[in-house]
This record gives sequence, C-alpha cells and structure tokens, in this order.
Amino acid sequence: MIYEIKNISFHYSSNKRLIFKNVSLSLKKGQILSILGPNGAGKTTLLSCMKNIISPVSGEIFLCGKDIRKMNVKEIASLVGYVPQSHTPAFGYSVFDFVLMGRAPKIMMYHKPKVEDEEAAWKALEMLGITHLAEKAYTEISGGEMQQAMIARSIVCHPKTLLFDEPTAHLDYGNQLNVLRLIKKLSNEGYAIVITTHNPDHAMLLGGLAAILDKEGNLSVDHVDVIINEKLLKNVYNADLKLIKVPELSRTACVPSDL
Amino acid sequence: MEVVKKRKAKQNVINIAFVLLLLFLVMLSLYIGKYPLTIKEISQILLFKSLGKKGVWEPMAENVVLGLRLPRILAAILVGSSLSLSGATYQGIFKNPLISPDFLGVSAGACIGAAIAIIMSLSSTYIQLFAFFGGLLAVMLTLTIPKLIRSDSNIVLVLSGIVVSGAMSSIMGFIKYTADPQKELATITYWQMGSFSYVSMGSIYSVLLPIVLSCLVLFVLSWWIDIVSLGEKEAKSLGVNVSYVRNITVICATLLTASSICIVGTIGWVGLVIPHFARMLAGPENPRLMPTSYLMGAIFMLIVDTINRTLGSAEMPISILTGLIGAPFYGWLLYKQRMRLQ
Amino acid sequence: MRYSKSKRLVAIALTVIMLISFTACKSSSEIDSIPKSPIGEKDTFKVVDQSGREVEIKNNVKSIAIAYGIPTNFILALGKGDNIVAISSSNNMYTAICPSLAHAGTVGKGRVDLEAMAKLNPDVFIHRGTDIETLESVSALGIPTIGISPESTEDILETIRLLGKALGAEQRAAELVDYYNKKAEFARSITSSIPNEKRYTAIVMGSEIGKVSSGKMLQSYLIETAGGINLAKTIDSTELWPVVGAEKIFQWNPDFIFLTNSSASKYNAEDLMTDPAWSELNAVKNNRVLMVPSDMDSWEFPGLGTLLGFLWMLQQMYPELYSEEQFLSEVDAFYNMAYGITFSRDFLGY
Repeated sequence: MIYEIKNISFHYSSNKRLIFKNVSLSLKKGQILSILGPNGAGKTTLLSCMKNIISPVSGEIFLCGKDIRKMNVKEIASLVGYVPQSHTPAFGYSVFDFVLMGRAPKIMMYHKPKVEDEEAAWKALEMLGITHLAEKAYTEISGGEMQQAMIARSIVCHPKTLLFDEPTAHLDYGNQLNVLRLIKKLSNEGYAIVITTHNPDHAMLLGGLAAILDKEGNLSVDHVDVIINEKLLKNVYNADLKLIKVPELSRTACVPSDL
Repeated sequence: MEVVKKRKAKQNVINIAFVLLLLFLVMLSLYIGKYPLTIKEISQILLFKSLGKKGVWEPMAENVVLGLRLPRILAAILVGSSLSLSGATYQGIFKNPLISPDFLGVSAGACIGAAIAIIMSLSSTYIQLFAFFGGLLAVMLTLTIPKLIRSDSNIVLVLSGIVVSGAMSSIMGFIKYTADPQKELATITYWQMGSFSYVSMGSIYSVLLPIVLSCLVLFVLSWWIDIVSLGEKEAKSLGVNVSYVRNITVICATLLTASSICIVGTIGWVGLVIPHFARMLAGPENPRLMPTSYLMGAIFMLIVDTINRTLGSAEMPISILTGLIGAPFYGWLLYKQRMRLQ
Repeated sequence: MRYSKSKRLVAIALTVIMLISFTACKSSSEIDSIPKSPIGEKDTFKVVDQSGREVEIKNNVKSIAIAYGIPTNFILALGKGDNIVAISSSNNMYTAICPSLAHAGTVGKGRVDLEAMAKLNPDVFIHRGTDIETLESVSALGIPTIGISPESTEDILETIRLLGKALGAEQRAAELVDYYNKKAEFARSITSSIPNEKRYTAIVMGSEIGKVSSGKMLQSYLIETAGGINLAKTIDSTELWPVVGAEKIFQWNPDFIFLTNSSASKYNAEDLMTDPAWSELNAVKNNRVLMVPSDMDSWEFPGLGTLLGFLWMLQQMYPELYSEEQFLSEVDAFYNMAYGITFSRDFLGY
C-alpha cells in the first residue's frame, strides 16, 4: 500500500470553513486515482496534504506504511514526485538542469549533483523522449514540452508515487492526450498516480479509481465507472452532462446534453 | 550526455580564460600608474619581496608598488567579485533579475550601520559589524513589504527596495545632521561616496575572512539557489529546506556587500549589471553563473579602477564610472523585461 | 517538518566564524605594511600639528604640497610661496604675489591622488587637520604631513606659528602674529569707550538665508573685535553654522547683517534688500546688509586677511570713529607687510 489516508480534514488557520472533511482513501502500486471536482473545491489543497507541505487538522496519512508526520522532507520528496500545475520561471534554466533539480531529495545539503545524478537526469529525458530539448532554455519550449520536462523531473528520483496537479489544464487537445497516454504508461511501470482534473472524460480515459470532491468538502472514492454517473456530475458541475456508451471504443464518453 | 559534457568543457574554457585575463590585468595594473617606474624595478621589488630577500631601490618605489598599487588591485578584485556574487545571489534567491544590493537597500542600510558606529566612536571592528547588521535589517524590511501587501511581483520588490532606500537616506540625513561636522561628518560622507584611493592592506586584511567564507558558502550552495528560485512550493516539494537556504545565502550576500562597503564605501550598479553579463555568457544556472560572475566582477572593477587612477589629473568617485555603464544597462534590461512586468 | 541536526550545526558554526572573523580583524590604522623611508636624525625635527599628531620634518623644507585652498595665504605670507609644488587652485592675487604658483602641479582636490603625490614626493604635505584619513594615507608613503585647523583667531595665530616652525620661518611667523595682534588691539581700542547698550548688533549670515555664524566661529570674533555684538552668540548649538531661520533674525532685528562671500551662497544682499518681508528690519531700512569683501581674498575666510575683515566691519559700523581713508591705507599696509605687494581696490573687488 502506497497511500493510506484516514479521515483527514483541513481548514486554513484564517478561515475555519473546512476545505474537505473526513477524507479516506488508499492507493496501491500501479493504481491511478483521478480526483474530480469544480474549481476551488480544494483538490490542490488535498495534494499539498499528501505531500505534507501542509498538515491536515485531523486524521492520519500513511506513506508506504509510515506516518507522514514523522518523515522528513527529503524522505517524502524521494517517495513522492510532484508535477505542479503551471510554472512561471524567473530564469531560463536548461531543460537538462531543470530535470536534474529533481535529484535534490537524493543530494545532501552543501553538495552538488554528481555524475550519477546527471546520468539519472539524462535517463529521465530519454524515457520521455525529450533528449533533444536538453540544452534548450525551458522558458523557450512549448507548454506540452514543459509538462514533459516537469514529468521527467518528477521521476528522476524513481519515487513510488506521482502527484499531478491539473496536468492537462494548460495544454492543447493533442498534448492533453499525450500526457494522459504518458500517465497510463507510468502507471503500467508501477507508479501509483494521483491526478486532479476537472474533466470527467479524462478520468474515464485513464480508468482506475476516481474520487469526487464536492463543494461541501466530502470526498467519495470508487472505481471510475461506479462513481461517475449523471446525477453526480449534475451535482458537482451544475451542468447537464450525458454519459454515452461508445461501442466502437468500448468505453463511456461524457458529453453535455444542452448545447 | 554528450551535450552536457560539451557544455561543461565550454564552461571550463570560459572560466580559465577569465582567470588568465585577470592575472594578466593584475600584472598590467601593477605596471602602470602615475609614478614613473620601469618594468625592471617593479619586477625586482615584487620578486625580492615575495622571496623575502633584500634589494636596492628607492623607498618610495616600494611604497608605490606595495603600499598603493597592490592594495588597490586586491581591493578592486575583492570588491568587484563580492558585489557581483552577492548581486547574483540576491537575484537568484528572490527569483528577480531586476534587483541588486543597492536596489534592495542593503548598501544604504550598511552605510547607516557604519555611520551609527562612527557617531558612537566605536572601533573599526564594530563599524563592520554594524554595517553588516544595518544591511541585514534593510533587506529584511525590503522583503517584508511585498509580504504585507501579498504580492510577489518583481516590480513590487523593486519598489519596496526604493521605499526602504528612501527611508534609509532620510535616516542617513538625520545622522549626518547630528554628526560632529569637524570629524565624523567627513568619515560618514566617505562611506557613502565610495573610493579606492585610500585603500590600505590593513583594511583588506580586516574583511578578508568574512569575504572568503561567504564566497565559499555561496559557491557550495549555488545549486540549491537554483532550486529555491523555482519558487517556495516547488522547492519544498523537492525536499529542500527553503528558509534555511534563503537565510544562509542572504546572510552571506549581505556580509559580502557590507564587507565591500567597509573597504571602499558604496559602489553602485556592479552587483546588478555583472551577473547579467555573466548570465549571457555562462547561462542562468547558478553553479555556472556564480564563478563566471565572480571573475567578471573582479575583472570589471579592476579595469574601471585602473582607468580611474591612471587617466586624468584627478580621480573621479568610482560610482560615476560604474553608474555611467550601469544606468543605461538597467534601462535596456527593463525594456527586455517589459512583457513580464505588465 | 524536521531537518537534520548537521544543518543547524553548520548554521551555528557559520555565525560563530563570522563573529570571530569580525572581532579578529584589525583596523586599518593598526597595520602599517609600508616601511617608512629612512630619515637621518640630525636633519630633522619634530612638531606637533593642530590635529595633535607629532610630525617629523626635514630641517630645510624645499617642496610643499597642498590639496585645499586655506594653507596658501599662510605659506605666501611666510615667504615660502616658491616652495609650493602642488596646489588645488590658485587665483590672480596668489600668482601676482608668487608667479611660480601658476606652474605648480596638483595632487587632487580634497581627496588626494596618492600616486601623483608619490611621484611629486614633496618634503611636506599641509592639509586640513580634521581629515585624518588623508593625513594618514599620505604619511604612509613616508611623506611628512601637517594638519592645520585655523578655525578661530587663536587657531589662526597658532597655524602661523606652526607653519613658521615647520617651514623654517619662525622669525617671520612671529612678525605676522605680532602684526595681527597689534591690529586687533588697535581695533578694540577704537570702540572701547562705547558702552555695551550703545554698540551695534550684527550677525554674519552663511550660504543660505537663516544660517548664521555661531559664537564659536571666526566671524563672531570679527564682529566683536570691530566693536559689534554678535546676536547669534546666544544660540545654544553644537553647530558652527546653525540654521535659526528668518523669523529668529526678524526677532533679533540686527543693525548690521554681514553676508559671507561664498560662491556657494544661494542669495545675495540685493535679494534681501528688495524682499518685502525683510523691509522692516533695521539693517535693511538703513542699507546695512553688506557682503564681506573681497572677491579675490576673502576677509572672513581662515587666514591673515581676517584682520582686514574686522577693520572693514569697524569702518562700516563706526565710520565716525574710523574713516574710510584710514581703512584704505591699512589695506595697503597689510598687503605690503604680508606679501610685499599692494593691490588696487578694483583688483581685490571691494
């Protein structure tokens, strides 16, 4: 078991309103969990708790069997790879150096990356097929390429699990599909993966588990086919959505009914 | 991996070239000046003195080479490299290419610290300590303002630096007003002006240790500065103790600025401009940028000071020359940055 | 979040090293890496300058360097003008007294160009006594430096004696001091019978309106020697030129307002005379706002010329006791005595 989350709740110290309450879920090796919810529901906050960047006000999180509160930042960082939603870089570091920064959990403070770290970074670039970008400034590559670079950075330490915060949000349609394909590939390699998205279609394309965080802060988790139904979508997104079986693809697609 | 290795090799070539250039400039600068000396005389003095032997030459010749030129050259190298290294550090750690020790108010704060120590007639050791804490206090104030108004825009940090510098200059005005015009005022004004002309070996020795230590720490932490420059959240998710890296590097950078101010007073623009030139040559990654920036700062300052002391009948305050180069450059920088500032 | 202890240790160690490095440093004046040039014992003597430093000087000083304006008139009056090898600025009067000044070099203005100084290698460097930094830096080259502070009359006389001794003109210095004292004595004797309440009140106003010369300044002595009362003497301030503001001056309502003759001034006598706000002042009504002469040799600047300063004030305030004719002959007598030359009124500009 990679993640074991038991009854966690969270609110900010400035505002006592609970962002989410009594959330429980568990995640195994190779599993994908898509967290759905409208904007501002607290999906990113939940991910931050899972990275221990912020701590829940109650409940417990176990990462690889250990209480996350008792782990140090480096230990967590080497187990959990994180792909942020977007990124406004101040300096145009080369893609290679950017990916190399992902080795930080393995490097001691006051030390610099060694040759083995550079080789690991290069392998990550190879795995994503972006070695041709190695010397490019990552301020000058496309959004899709930047997403690939960030994914490469998150796997350069070979963590157990990857957290994606809205990995498709800033991409064109073709690149969105590329990223989803990549996420599936990574889960096949054994990574436990959590993504947040507000597109139910993406959750269905990825399969596996899905969770819906509603505006009251309740989270329901189950297999994606079970959890995504028209009534729930109406509830969460406040829009009429139809789920249609597409026999040619042997899957269900989510389309709006009133357009 | 080939491209990565190639780039490393290129980087080494650049830095070695700069080291050689710096050595050449040191020699050149030792050999030129208003006091007429032959190459033979200078070489003799340098050679005999470094071997500890006794030779025969004019006592004044020795005073000029070892008492005037050598300390000035060393001071120019120390100050130029310190200022550009601290500039690169501030720019990296606050992920803002528009700032420098002077724009953060560090220089003004260090001057105030020094001035207070002078007013209290404390010894030079305390003047340095006060300069350091003055600088640190100023940078802390500058960083507080963007937090208060919850903005992390580049321009807000620059404006906040202007606010703090403005406040500092009125405090400075008050200190000067209360200073004894006969003795203290001239010394305080000297701190503000910046000049290499009275540098002595003694003042260099007194700041050598803090400068060397700070530079070492910054070089060692250069890779970590890159990570912090990605932003606090990302750096934390990579397992980096952001506030630790930030505190240590800001302390070291401030120590460098305060130490340079202790030897020669405030010299503007170097800490802003040189890191940018270095970035163009070496790339933005701090492990590469910092050594290049360090060497370029030393070379730049040495060239400017050598020109200043050899050309013309009277020396100009050094900030006039650095400002002449720095101010237009900052304008160009703003032009290049205009898209991101909006 | 927990971080390893080693990091905290490094942080502490760093701070400690930093503090040690500070306290371990030596101040610049403590270390003197430059060997002094050997000076034979018999050829030199020692004087204590006006900044309290003991200076060893050659017996027969042949070359003098200066980097600010004040020492020039003292050196010229001591008859050593030809020995000046470096000067910050000169004017027509100085070159008329001593033509060789026109060819003197320069070692900087205010701040000294040390290498140019080394090249010139003068026997002595005379500078502002408060600028210890410059004095020490030049001394480190092995060049004897004398600091002078002719701030008050007593100090002016002391400067004459000190430079007389240092430059080998003690006899001449004694003559000059004697002459100065006699003239001061003479000025005081003229007004000695006037009771305090009948004396004119006056102030000397500095480079900006409302900035006045305090009781500590030379200018205050000039007013008093000329038989006037310096109203600004009552001001309790550590500053030499406190800014009291125009209103305070209105309240004082002085009989005479003397203005310093400085190019840095932001106003002139005409501005005050035509300003309606100032029109009710006694000094303005009686046309007694006057700039202290002269353009060429300022009589209220530290130097021998100050004796003309108080004589001129005396003549302005009490013309019935001291006529213009008497004063004019005194001017000629002074320049003749001090520099062996007389100047026309036009030339000096008064």
